[in-house]
Amino acid sequence: MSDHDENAEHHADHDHDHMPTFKRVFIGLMICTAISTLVGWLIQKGVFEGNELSGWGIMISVSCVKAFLVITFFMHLKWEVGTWKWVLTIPASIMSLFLILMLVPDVGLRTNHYTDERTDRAAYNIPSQDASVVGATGHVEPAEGGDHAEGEATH
Amino acid sequence: MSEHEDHHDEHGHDDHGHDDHHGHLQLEYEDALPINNGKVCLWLFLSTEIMFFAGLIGTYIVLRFGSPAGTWPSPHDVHVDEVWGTVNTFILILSSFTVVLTYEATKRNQSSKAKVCLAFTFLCGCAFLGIKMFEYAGKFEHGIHPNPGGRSLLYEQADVYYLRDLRAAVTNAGAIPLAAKSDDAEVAAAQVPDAGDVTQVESQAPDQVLLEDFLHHSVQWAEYVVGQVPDTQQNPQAEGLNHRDVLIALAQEVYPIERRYGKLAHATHHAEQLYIESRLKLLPELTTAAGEDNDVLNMLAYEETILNARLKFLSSHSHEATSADDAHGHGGLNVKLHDAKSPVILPMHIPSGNMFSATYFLLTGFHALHVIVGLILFAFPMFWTLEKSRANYIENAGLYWHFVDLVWIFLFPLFYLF
Repeated sequence: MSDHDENAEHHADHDHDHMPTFKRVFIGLMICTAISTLVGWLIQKGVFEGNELSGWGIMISVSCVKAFLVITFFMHLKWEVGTWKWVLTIPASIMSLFLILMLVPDVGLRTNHYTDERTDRAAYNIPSQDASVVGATGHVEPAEGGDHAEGEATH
Repeated sequence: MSEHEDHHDEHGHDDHGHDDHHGHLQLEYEDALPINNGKVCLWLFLSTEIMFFAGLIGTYIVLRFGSPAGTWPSPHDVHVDEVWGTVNTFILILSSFTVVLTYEATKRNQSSKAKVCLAFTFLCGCAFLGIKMFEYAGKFEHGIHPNPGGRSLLYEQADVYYLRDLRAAVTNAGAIPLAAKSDDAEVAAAQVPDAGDVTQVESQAPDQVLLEDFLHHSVQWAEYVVGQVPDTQQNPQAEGLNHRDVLIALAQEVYPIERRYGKLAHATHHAEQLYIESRLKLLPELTTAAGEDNDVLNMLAYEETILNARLKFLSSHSHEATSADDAHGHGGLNVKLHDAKSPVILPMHIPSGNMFSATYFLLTGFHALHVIVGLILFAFPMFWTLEKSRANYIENAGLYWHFVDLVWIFLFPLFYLF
């Protein structure tokens, strides 16, 4: 029993060294949040106009960095000994990635291709997949009686 | 070992059998993992939680970015305020840090320090939930919740349900306080003479009467077209109108697209102008088709008056139609129901609104549920002396809390900033 106690004591002493690390991690998380908020604000101000994807990319990357910091330091996975930490986290992470990828073909890409009926009935103007007709911006121009449906919506 | 000896004492009479059993004690089990069982279980649970939330967040991402450009509501469209999101993020990170402090203090038998940190964590969790509650209340107030009766653009079809719902909304809107809109009132007042022969009681609130009449009339007109006039979309050879365009024009009257997509404002004005011109061209045909139906004839006459007024306004303002102008007012008859103080909840009000609210409430709801569970976990140790023997509990509760923080780290940008 006493042996066990000594171990625990040693463990505690070892962890004691990490307090400055925890403080740095905390400040890092705060800075990351500020960066995310700033980028979000810039997107709203139109700085990323037409280039939202890069803004989103920055924010998600920042989130990943934050997640890494929390898992590694706050959940002290960095100091855990043994393979169990990989066994419990990596397969779950891969699984979760595939859960998302599974949804992409039928859900994520659901509006990439329109049937004719869907194109006809859509509430907004769908930019034509035919390169010759450049989709306008969602305006409406009414059909003159007798006009055929296709192409009249985009003017 | 001591446990085994107790066992031996109790069953000492069964010597033979026991000795056999005793031989197997050489195979005494060792800890498979260098951590306690509680922590193993918690980590197993967390790894299922990773998949649980990844599935939910992934579904949101796939739905969100798979929707056609411009049809997913921006955070401000659905009253998601990034200020509260940021505050909540800071609160959660702070609470995560104080959990770390609690654990460190508990390990060192500093019970009172640990309790202070724990209480702070608990308060942070409560503050988070309080803000969440405030946010939810705001959403509900604006009718932003999964609405089985509502319709989103995904299911958009040129059918009569839209008209039915719109008619109900226009009727229920009742008296619309527009007094504050001085610009609109001026322009509308200037246009009253145009429509004066049809509306009788505009003296007290001309813009309001005009607006209501115009909306009622627009609905009537669209209902008439959808009900009576052949759809050229279904049957290109038929003499008729494109039902889809008629409905979109109606939607445009109620909730103009430029309010959502500022940069389209100018183009939209132009489109509306074109639309009105062609509608005016069609009116004689419709009048002929109406025959002796006086109701329809009256309606068409009024339609013409209104359309002319609107056209006049559009042509005189076509150069000023900028997004800045549209942010505060759009003159003439284009005073939308949407601007009225009492929110009018319309179908098609928010594109993909149902999907947004479903995913928003599912994800933030499950997260809030986890926060509540975390608070319960933290409530017990408040009554304990937080000494080293309690460190395992604090560590496990802390791990769980960090995971809750982790989920929020992803929810925050996805819902508040994208």
